[in-house]
Amino acid sequence: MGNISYLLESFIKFITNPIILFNSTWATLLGIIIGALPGLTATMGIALLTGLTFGFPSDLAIVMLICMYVGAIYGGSRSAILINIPGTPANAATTLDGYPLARSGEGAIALSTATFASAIGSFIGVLSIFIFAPLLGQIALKFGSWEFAWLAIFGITICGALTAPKDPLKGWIAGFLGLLLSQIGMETIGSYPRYSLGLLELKGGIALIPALVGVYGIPEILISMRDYGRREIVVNIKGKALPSLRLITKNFVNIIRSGIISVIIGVIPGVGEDVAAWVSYDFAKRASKEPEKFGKGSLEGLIAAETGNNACVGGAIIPVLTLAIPGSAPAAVLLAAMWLHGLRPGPLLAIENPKFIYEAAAMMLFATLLMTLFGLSLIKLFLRVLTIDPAILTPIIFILCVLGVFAINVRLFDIYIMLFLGIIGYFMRIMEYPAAPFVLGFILGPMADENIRRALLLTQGNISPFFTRPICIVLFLLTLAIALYRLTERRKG
Amino acid sequence: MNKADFITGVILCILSTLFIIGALRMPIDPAFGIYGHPGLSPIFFASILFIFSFYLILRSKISLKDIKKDLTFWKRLRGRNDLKNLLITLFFIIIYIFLLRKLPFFILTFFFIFIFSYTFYKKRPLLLFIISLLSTLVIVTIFSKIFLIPMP
Repeated sequence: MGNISYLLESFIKFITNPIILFNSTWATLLGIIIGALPGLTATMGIALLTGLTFGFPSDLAIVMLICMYVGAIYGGSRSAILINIPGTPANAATTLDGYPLARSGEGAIALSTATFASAIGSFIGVLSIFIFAPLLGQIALKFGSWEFAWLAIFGITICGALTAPKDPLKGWIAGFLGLLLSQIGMETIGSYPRYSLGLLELKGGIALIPALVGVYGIPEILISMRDYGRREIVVNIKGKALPSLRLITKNFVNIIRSGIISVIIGVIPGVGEDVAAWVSYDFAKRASKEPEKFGKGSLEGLIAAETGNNACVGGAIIPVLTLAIPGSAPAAVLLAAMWLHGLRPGPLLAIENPKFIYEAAAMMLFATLLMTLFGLSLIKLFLRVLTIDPAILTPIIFILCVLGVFAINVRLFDIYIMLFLGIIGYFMRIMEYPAAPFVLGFILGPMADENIRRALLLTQGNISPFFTRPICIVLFLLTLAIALYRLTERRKG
Repeated sequence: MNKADFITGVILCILSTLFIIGALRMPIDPAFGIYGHPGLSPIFFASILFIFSFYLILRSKISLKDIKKDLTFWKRLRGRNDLKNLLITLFFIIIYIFLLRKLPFFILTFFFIFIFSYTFYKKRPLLLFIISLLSTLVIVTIFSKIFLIPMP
């Protein structure tokens, strides 16, 4: 009961504090716009805002970043429905039914149904943080160095397998490349500068924000200009403005199922909203009485995809808070932002700052409220934004990337790193190497390194605890099962 | 994709080997001994990357001879408008980053936005001029005056 009252207390604080309200409002709006614009992802939006809010108080900055996260994942549905291009990868499944609905003159109902589905999905995410984060926090307290080392390997394996469905090997290569690049710079046990090539800047390692903006932002900019002039926009929105209550009640099971599936997928390290949306869509199609309508303008499919991607946001925040491991790429930046602002998410959060979990749930509830309000009231504005020519928008976005990266450490070297990793990210993209495991590897690398060596130091080289401790056995078997299953599945074609 | 996989596999094998060599050269800290060696985890990660990359090469089932013989990939790329757009974008981005701190940020950013957008949009230069000027002004004002972030 005390937890609920703390959640509500925090929520009331957010809606009554004019500074939080003002800043969160523009962060949500910016998030929806960033999400709606093809070429800008939620990850990039949060990375940019992290730079901008660097000097803000931590509670204000984190609530703004969560508003940006929720807004961007939702905003991607606007372009998915109106121009058949998912604004963020999380909205790829939305295009299948959203765009056919818009083309058949049901644009308004598609947009508003997506808004409701996203709002309900986000609310399921809030509930999941509220209920499951404290439970996972208790389990996380049992984790030692051996478990954390396994968790990193498990995260890379499952993330690589799920984000590269055609070829898991490429997902795993991307993950281990990220792990390897994260080893550059001062290590945590003996402070030895690894692979710094005599450069002072590299001794501190590669910062996360330049790496994230590089791998996600620069390839998007290059691809958006490479494909310049190929966009078709549905500008004529007709039809009913709001979905009926009957539609929502008819899809009650679909919504709950998609929400639960997506929260579980969100908790899995690095997998993220796009996989959640696809899996929810697939389950909805299998369970539907009208599966033939899927892909041709099914509201059921649209609801499943949009509930799924937004519910996953809550799921992805759970391991951030309890294990300091991101459930998705945008959550990875959120984690980095929490570190930058002096917060210490992870197993000790449940002891050091237990109320923060409920505060985070309140932040997401607040973001959901703002997203729903703006989503329903500003449909025309988002349509206008989508008509801006990429030739005008792209250079401005690039400048924002440069400034966002520069703001973190105020050094040009980070901009060079962004460019370098951006070019690598572009080639990774065209050769079908997913960026998510790379980023996850990059984030988990220091944790994996520290825990592998600490575990070996504690046991003087005895590796048996890696395979005999109960949680280690579970993680080892899961890692092995996923790897073998995906490899044999691919061999069967 | 086989050819691209082969080349990527070779590059990654070389990269992981370099990381392993670099790790082996790292000194052992007497306070921590061999198990605290800074190169231990990099060797582990690089070895797995090497194995995966080597498997990628084996799986692609082509030889270096075939790569040299087959130049159609490059010819095809040269003929595409996509490549032209891509190279122009990359060129502008690199020039902009190169000129940072060599030219005043406001002037550089204004010219970058204007030239970039005009190169692709190819019409209404006056409107693009105004948009470039206004957007530069807004960006500089918001970042330096409101967020108090130093400009590059």
